[in-house]
Amino acid sequence: MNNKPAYQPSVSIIDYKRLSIRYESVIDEQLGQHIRKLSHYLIDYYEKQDQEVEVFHTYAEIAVQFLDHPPSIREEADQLEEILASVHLSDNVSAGKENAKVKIPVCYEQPFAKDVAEVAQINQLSEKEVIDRHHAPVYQVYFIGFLPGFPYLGGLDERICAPRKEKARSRIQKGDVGIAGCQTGIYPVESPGGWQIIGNSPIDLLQLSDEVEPLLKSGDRLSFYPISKEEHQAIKNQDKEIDLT
Amino acid sequence: MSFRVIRQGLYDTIQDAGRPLCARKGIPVSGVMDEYLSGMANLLVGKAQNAALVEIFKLGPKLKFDQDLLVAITALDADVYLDSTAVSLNEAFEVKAGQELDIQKINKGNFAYLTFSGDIQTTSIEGSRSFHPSLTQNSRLPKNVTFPVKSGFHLSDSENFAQVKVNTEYYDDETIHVFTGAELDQLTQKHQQELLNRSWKLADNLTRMAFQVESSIDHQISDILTAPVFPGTVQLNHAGELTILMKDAQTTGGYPRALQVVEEDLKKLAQKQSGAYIRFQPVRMY
Repeated sequence: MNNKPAYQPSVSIIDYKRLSIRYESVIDEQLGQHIRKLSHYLIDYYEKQDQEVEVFHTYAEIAVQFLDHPPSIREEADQLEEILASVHLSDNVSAGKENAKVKIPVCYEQPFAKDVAEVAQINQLSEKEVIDRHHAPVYQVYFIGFLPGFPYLGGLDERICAPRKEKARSRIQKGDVGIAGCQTGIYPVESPGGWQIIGNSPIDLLQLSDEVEPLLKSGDRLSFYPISKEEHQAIKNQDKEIDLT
Repeated sequence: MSFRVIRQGLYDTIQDAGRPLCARKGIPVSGVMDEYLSGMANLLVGKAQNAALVEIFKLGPKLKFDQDLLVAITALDADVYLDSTAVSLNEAFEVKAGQELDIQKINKGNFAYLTFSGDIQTTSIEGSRSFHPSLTQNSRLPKNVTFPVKSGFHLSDSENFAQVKVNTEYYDDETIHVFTGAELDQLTQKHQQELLNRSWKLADNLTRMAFQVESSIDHQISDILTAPVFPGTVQLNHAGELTILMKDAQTTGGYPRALQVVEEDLKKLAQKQSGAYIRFQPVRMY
């Protein structure tokens, strides 16, 4: 039996009410899985302690933030170190609510695919090849960040990576699907941004209400499928029912 | 009962305590930039310190109410007129229906607060009415739109209203307390010392999202894998410029994190005008 822990993160103090657990800085599916499990373990732990805490993570970092100042953040850090040293995240430990598989319709036609020609040219592919390669994989949602409900996705075909636009657009439309480097993503809300835009989805990724539940969460799997401009319009107008599973 | 803006200010927003624990949804913290002044304003009209109020940036709006109200404006120094009579800051006063409240220039600090005896009724998202460009319908108070106010107060017959003396000396201090950031140790000793041992001048670009610092640190740190950031995170970009993230900043970032300003000092920083100097002071943890 190999008892050496697979990951050796370090705990550090961010400020009087925040701690951080840092791993080696890599994008890795197994590390992602481990981080999700540990995050859920910690959420349960702090809930049992009756502490109002948020645990959130990126690719290789978990942040723990307390709503109110704990009496000593140093003691909280020590306690967190102890948890990390003793916890066994077996395969049975849940990585949260059931991870969903979500299918998102995207119109890759004009006028939405503003930068598909540029992405095709950069990679010496045809526009159709870029689009086909974009909706072929099943993507992994690593975490939500940058904008409300914005998913950081892993799994983009390396043949369609493309650098950010030299000059960022002052307005990227809600639902726009883009590529930046070897990442792809979808804008849940309108925002400025430098991503290469290759399509648009008529789906709402974010219902803004007193309790916001983004459509996507860390751990979900996501795929895109192409739709026509007419279908896009029909979904937008809610003339057409849509099943996301 | 309602109010409306008849002349917009530079960036008038509705703010409260914001959305402090929503980072996992990608939702920024938002909320008042100076919770000391905003809390005082609310207390002056008998409301909870965290109640939603109007935050004013540099140049204020002109407003009109359709009912008599008790109003308070807190600022370090600002010119405020009711119709054309100057009114005192940091003191509650009565405004009659139809009178025009004109908040002109903020002379000291960047942010002032306006609150009144009634509850603002704008949409609440994640328990907060704080405006944010990516979440709320309005990112600033629009002109000639009527905002409903729920009245829960009765004015007393008293002629004497509460007032406070604001400790402006606190805001004059250059010291901004910081923790070390995750990537600080990647800077050379020389650069780390420079960062902590000298005064830095705030640039012209100060917003609710970020405060820019005039700086060009000739460093070699590369971008990081997207990681958590918070209000108070001091980022160092390619050009060696320091950016201090403020309340409306996004939840994750890719620039190296040099320092983290303690939450208590964010209000002091928020009131520093362009051209003012700040000095980062590491906190001592026993």
